[in-house]
Formats: sequence, structure tokens, C-alpha cells
Amino acid sequence: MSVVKQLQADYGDFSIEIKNWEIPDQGVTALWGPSGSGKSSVLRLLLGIDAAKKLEWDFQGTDLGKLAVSTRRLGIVFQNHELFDHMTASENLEFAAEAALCRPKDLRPSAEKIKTNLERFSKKLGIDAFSNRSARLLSGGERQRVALARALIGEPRMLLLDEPFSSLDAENRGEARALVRSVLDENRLPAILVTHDLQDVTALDARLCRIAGGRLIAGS
Amino acid sequence: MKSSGQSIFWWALVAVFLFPYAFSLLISGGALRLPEGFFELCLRSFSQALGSTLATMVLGTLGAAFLIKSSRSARSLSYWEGLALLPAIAPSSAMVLGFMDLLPHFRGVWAVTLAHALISMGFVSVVLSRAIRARAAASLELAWVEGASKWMMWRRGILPTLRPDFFAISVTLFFSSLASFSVPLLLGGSQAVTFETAIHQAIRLQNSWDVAAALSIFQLALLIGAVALVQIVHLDQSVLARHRASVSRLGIGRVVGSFLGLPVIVTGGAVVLFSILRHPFAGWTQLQASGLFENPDTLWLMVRGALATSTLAGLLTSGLLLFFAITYPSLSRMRWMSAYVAPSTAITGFATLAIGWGQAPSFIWDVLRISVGAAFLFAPLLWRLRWEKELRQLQSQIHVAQTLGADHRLISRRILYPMLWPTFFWSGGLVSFWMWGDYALGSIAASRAMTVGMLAKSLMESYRLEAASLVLAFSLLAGAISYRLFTWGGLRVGR
Repeated sequence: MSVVKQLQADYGDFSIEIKNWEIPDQGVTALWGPSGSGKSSVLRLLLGIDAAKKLEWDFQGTDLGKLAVSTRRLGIVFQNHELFDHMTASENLEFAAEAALCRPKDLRPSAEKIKTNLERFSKKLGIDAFSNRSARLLSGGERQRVALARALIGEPRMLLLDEPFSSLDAENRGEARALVRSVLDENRLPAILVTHDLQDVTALDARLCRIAGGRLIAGS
Repeated sequence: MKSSGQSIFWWALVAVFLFPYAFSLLISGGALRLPEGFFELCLRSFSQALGSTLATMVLGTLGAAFLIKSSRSARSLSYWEGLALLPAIAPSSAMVLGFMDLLPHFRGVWAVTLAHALISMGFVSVVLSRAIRARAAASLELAWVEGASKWMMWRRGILPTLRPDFFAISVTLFFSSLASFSVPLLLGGSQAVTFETAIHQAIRLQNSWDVAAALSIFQLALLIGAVALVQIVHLDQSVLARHRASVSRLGIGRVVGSFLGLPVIVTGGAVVLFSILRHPFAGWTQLQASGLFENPDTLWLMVRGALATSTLAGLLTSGLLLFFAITYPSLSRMRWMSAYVAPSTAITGFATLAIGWGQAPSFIWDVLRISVGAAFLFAPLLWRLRWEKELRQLQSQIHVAQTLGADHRLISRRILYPMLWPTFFWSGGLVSFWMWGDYALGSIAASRAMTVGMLAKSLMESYRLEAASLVLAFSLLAGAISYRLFTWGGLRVGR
């Protein structure tokens, strides 16, 4: 169990304030709320890409709030996937492998393990079929697979998913949910899922935490 | 989270950008003196800036009505927009030359006002017409269906909807007219019509550094006011920057368009083309008669000077912006950069004299001064034109790379450089194009006439306008080739 003991941020006319949010070490924790409730902001604050006024996140004895973005070792899949469009699908994954090696030795797997991960996730997520295609030419579903593999290669301690299914059509969405669930189960990886769609919560069998006005109102 | 290295980069950059201001404060050494007739100078400068802004806005709005009228076909719209933008893109010397030719005895505050309006009105027309099509089209169509008249739609629909845009453009125009230098230098007459020309006169004609410093500091205070205003209207400017040309869905052209604005779109471009293309043969004869060709060393110096300054200025400007990009500026730092108002040409030229201070005049020092000055002047403009948008788009990719564990070097090598090279070379090319026709900065920073633009200026001053026209045409052609070479280089590096 990791605990976000304190999270405070001020966006001018909007603020986030969360206390004692318990996130299980296994399974998916869904942060569910309407648009503008602050759920994506919470994710950005946890990642460290938005500056929090206060963040104390006890993760197995380590306060992640004190670490730099690159050393928090969190995987992220954004809504629009944010692939590096000037690279091919495989180059996106190679970048992730190279980036993981930039971390201090005690915070990353060995080079061999990273290489194995690259091959394993590439195969598991069916990326081999389009690995040499430019990222800007990939379909929505393909982009999502690359984004997911890219996030997993460095063995993150937790995966953060920011509305990862909302840009997919209905047909691909069901398939993508099943794929994410199988990857998370297989790797026993905890995840935080930000969504406004209750079907995502059900499909990933997630524990529901409800957010409104920047405050957790249920499930903390 | 910023590393200390990035912070050092950032503060070094801030120091560089603030240097011209700091230098003007330093050089004054406490001795400040306002010139005689300071009140009249203020009156002339402010009335010129106000007149330029009002004339540009009124004419630009008329031009926008014409562009809306022509917006039913994407192709014809792009031609009209190209013609409208020509005076703003071409070096200001082209407009000045055309003006001197067509209105040979018209000088002073109102001549400068008219020239400013001719240069900027097409640009304003394009920006406003895009804003109207992007933001007001739906409500105008509704008003049309409900039977509103054209006048009512402009007065009650477009003007209130686009009030922030009008305000943002007016503020920008006012301060750019107030700090204008190249146009009033040749069209202002004997009396200074801007602080810029007054500073230039104080340094070059009277050697009164105390007066120049006092005027610099006064203008600095005005520019700080401008920074505050630009900060306030910044969001609206961003909105403007996002507009894209689109062909109107319904008959918005019929609803609010007007052919009355046609002269606005055509006149500026026509004056520029006229000044460039007129009398090539007479120009050649006049150049021969000027004795320039009997002095090949001087001619070679001008070409060499223009080539060196345009290339170095392009590389320095793009380098400065790339340097800013690799500091991974936060949003607040990006806002600072967007609000930063470049020091005026006179203050910048004045500050570049610190380069090689006390050294004997030489080609190298002159090239360095002009190029560094150009980088100061063009970097903020190009930042707003393209770099800001590019960098904002890269922000989330940088964030993803950071979460993956990538360090600064890897992000720069694999993401920033490959993604920013085309922009780097595009901006370098644009600066080099402008610098081929520039004479303003060189007039202050260089120890002698040493560029093709400065040759054109001296020909204009001595009323050998045909020769000036030919030299200007050459500088535009050379500038276009230089731009092409830069962008070609960008493609090669990109591969």
C-alpha cells in the first residue's frame, strides 16, 4: 500500500487538496470524476510534471514527492499517447530503453533486462508488425500499444493511465481495455487510471475513488 | 524540476537579454541630460505612434472586409493574403524607397505615419480577417438569418467580439511605431520624430552620450510599460496566433465582406514591387556614374559585409532561441519570453558598441556588432512567430521522456534537436533575408558603410533612387537565396 499523505496545488482559480489517499500495491485504482474535477491534474502532480505546493507520497518507505520526475520511476500513458512522431514505433521503444538506462543503477533494471523487456513487450503487444512505421502514421490502437510498451520497458513501480481509452473508437476500446488488464495482471503492476467513463472502471475491475472540485470525496 | 545547470543556462540567457538595457544604464554614468525641445519630441513621437496605429487599424479593418469577401476560394485568398503581407515581410527599405520616389517632398511626422500604415495595414487585415472567420462566423451567420444589416453586424457583432484582438494588435502597433527607427531615419526629415532617431542624432551627430543615455532610459521606462501591457493582453495574442485561414462555410463574404478594402490590400504590395522593379537600366547607368564600380574594394566590402552579417545574424538568432529551448523553459518562463520586448534598434546598436570597445575599427568587430544586435532584435519576434508554439507542442513529449528517465542530454539529442532543426534553419533564413536589406542597425553599430543595405541607404539619401532600387532588388534576391540555402540546410540536417 502506498499513501499520498498530502497533495496540495494551486492553479489560481482552482486548487487540489488531497490527504491520506491510500493506493493499493496491486490492481487498478480509478480516479473517476467529471470534466474539470482535477483528476488529470492529480496525475500530473504525482508524476512531478506540474509543481505541487506540497506532495508527500510514501511508496514503500520512499517519499516520491522529494524525487525528480525522472527518478520517480512511474510509467505514464497519456490520452493522446504523446508518441515521438519523428521516430518509428521501434525507435520510440528504443528511446524508452535508452532513457531507462539514464537512471541511477539502483533505480533501474540491468541493461540485459531492459533489452529483454523491449523484445517481450514488443511481441506481447503486437508491435513487431508495424515496428518500422513512422509514429505519425500509426492508427489510434497502434499508438496506444506503443505508448503502453514504452511506459513498461523501464519497469516502473506504478503505471499511470490518463484517459487512455477515450481517443479510441468503440470497437478498439474493448480490445484495448482487455490488453491493458492482461499486461497489468501479468506483471503484477499497480496502476492509477484517470477516467470519466465507468465502463473503464468495470472493465479493469478497478477500485473507485471519486474526485470533485480537486478533493477526493469517496474511496480515499 | 529544474537542475542547477538548467537554471544557470536560464539566468545566463536573462542576463544576455537584459544586457542592452543594463548597458544603457551603465554608460550614462550618472550624467543624464534631456535634449532641448524634449516636450516637442515627445509630442511628435506620441502623435506619430498614435496616428500610425489609428491609420493602420482603420485601413487594416477595411482590408479585412475585402479578404473576407474573397474568402470563398482558398487559392484566391492565399494570393490576396500574400500580396497583403508583402510590405510587412520585405525589408522596410523597399517601402521607404517607393515612398521617396512617389512622394519626394513629403517628410516628417505624417510621412512616417503613412509609411508605417502602408507597411502594417496588410498584415493587420490578414490577422483580423482570420480572427473574424475563426471566431465570429457562426454568430454572424445567425445575425444574417435574423436580418441584421452589414453595418450592424460590424458594429454590434464583430467589433465587440474581437475587442481583445483589436486591443492586442493596437498595443503592439503603437509601441512598434514608437520604437521605429529605419523608416523615420529616412522619412522623418530633419527633426527627430521618434526617440530612436533622437538617440541616433545625439550619438552620431552631436556625440552627446548623456542625452542619448537619458533618452534610452526614458524609452526603457516606456518599454517596461509595454511589457506590462503585453503581459495583460498576452492570452488574447495567443488566441490570435492560433487562427488558421479557412474558407468560409456560408456566405460570410456576402454578409460582412466589402470590395472597399481592395486598395488597402493592393497599395502596400504595389509600392514595394514598384520600388524594387522600377528602372533597372537607369539604375545601372546611375550606379556606373556613381563611381562605385571604379572602386571594387568598396563594392566587395559591401557584399562581403552583407553576406557575413546576414549569415552570422541568422545563426546567432536561431542559436539564442535554441539555447532558450534547451533550458526546458517552464510555462512561466515562456510567458516571460513572450512578454519580453526587444530593446529598440538604437538602444541595441548603442549596446553593441561594447563589443570591441576601445579597439581600432575593423570588419570583424563591425560584423559582430551588427549580428549580435540583430539577434537581440529578431529573437523575441521569431519566438512569438514560431518558436513558442513549437516548444509548447514539445512540452508533453519532454515530460514523457522525463518520466521514462531520460536525462537532459538524451532529450536534447533525440527530441529537441531533431524536432527543432527545421525551425532553427527557417528562422535563421528569415533573419538572413531581412539582414540583406537592413541599414538601420549598421548605421549605429558599424564604423563605416559595409553592407549592401547601407549602400542602398546612402544612395537613397543622395536621391540616386534608380540606383538604390537596383541595389535593393539585388539585396532582396540575395536575401531570398540566403533564405533558401538556410532552409535547404535544415532539410539536409533533418535527414
